[in-house]
Amino acid sequence: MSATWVLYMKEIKSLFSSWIAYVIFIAFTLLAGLSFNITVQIFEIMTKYADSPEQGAARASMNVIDDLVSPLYQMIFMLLFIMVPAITMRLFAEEKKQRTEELLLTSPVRMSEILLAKYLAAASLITLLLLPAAIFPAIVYHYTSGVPDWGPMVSGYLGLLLLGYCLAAIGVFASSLTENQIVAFVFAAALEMIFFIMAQATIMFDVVKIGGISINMGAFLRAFSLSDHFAPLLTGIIKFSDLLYFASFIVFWLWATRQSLESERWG
Amino acid sequence: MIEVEHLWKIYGDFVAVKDISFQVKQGEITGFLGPNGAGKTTTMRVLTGFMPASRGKVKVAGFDLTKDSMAVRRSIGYLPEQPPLYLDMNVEEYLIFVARIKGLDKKKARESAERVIETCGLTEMRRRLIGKLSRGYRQRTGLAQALIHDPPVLILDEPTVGLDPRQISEIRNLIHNLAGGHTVILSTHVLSEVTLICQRVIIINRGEIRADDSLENLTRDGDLERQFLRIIGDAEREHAEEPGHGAAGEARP
Repeated sequence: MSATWVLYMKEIKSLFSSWIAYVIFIAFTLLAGLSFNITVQIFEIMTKYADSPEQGAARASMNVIDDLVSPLYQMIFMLLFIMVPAITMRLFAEEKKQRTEELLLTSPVRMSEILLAKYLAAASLITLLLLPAAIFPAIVYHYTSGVPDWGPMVSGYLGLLLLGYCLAAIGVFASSLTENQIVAFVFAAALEMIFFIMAQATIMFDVVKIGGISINMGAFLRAFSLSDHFAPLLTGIIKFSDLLYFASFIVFWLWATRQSLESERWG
Repeated sequence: MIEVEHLWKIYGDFVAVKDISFQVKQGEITGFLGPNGAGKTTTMRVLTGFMPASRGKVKVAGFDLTKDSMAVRRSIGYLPEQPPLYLDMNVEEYLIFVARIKGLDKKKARESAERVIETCGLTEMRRRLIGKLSRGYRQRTGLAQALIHDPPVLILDEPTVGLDPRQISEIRNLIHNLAGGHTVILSTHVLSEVTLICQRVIIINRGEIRADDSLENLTRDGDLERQFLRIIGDAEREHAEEPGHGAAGEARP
């Protein structure tokens, strides 16, 4: 455990001694703030429109959760798709490029300790990144004088964290494949997008007939997509199956990373 | 101290190391000689546990590499061909980090860093970022890193490459002083280096050991350079005569 801690601290220091952590932090916070501003303005326009006499009951169907907090969380969700690979791209690629991998792998530390340290460092930075974003739902809650249900705000925020941790696992994997950080970034982003657009693609093939058996491909793909497991959290529903999905997603990609690193040693 | 038995390393269909066996006694400084691509680096990488062997058995300090890999790693200090340095750390910070992952506690790590900074002549550079160091100082930092946990076995891959003559002589003295207490394997292209610091020489060509003897015996009839060229020349001729290597049809002299 102490080796993991030493390696973890090294990663954290290295993130903050380069510009990466600061640039990502500033970019993310600015863009998240901008997203909040935009969603609030849209919400305002929509309420004004709904308030006009000819709209009748439209006003009653609007609420702060569905029309303000959820869209905001979805925008932050998209931001994470860019920010997380930027955090993870250097984790293994840099060790390969500087040849420091040789030091780590000939030291009395286990591959799993190295991997865990790097993953936890990325996850910590993502947590730190998302902390300021907690102020947005807090502002909404404050200015609507506690009228909306706080449940979906909290569970959606939890969803963002979980999503960040999932993307970090993909990012760590991508970084283990190459010594080029740009390649690691692009590959991670592409893999993430696959797990995102999967749900959209389900419309194209709902039920596929293979031989005599018909398989519901739509449901199958949806079960694997990140966005479909994120959606219930936006409405305040925390399902065990979704949590299990996120956990196995992380475990799977970390396992894949380990395999990729081990197979490379066998050359 | 080091026992290697029938070691093979095969990449795809390329045989990098072919049935190598040798032993190194405690306190001995052994030079690994051979042309580029002979398999020196590969052998060292297998000994340090960086890469697993395809076949064969390796024992270091009495521990079996496959069964007790962690104990072997604790017993070895390794300086790879390119020193494994974190350019964004300063020298002291880096050495303490290496000491910690070698398993030393905080206090010991600090003391060890102090010790190797002293022995490797890094005192003035201790707060300098490694990225800003000259090649010579980087090499010294690499050597310091290999010495940090005071391992009984040192494996040094071309420790003096790219240094100026004064630095070379300093590093040589350093290695020379390690003899006795440490068992050292070092690879080099510089034959005079072997003459100066090694007691024993292993010559490798195309992944095979072509000579394994004390320096004294090897240089009995002629200097090391002549012996080396003769051994490599013989090996290359044999290789060319083997069936399937092009020159097989030629008449033998």
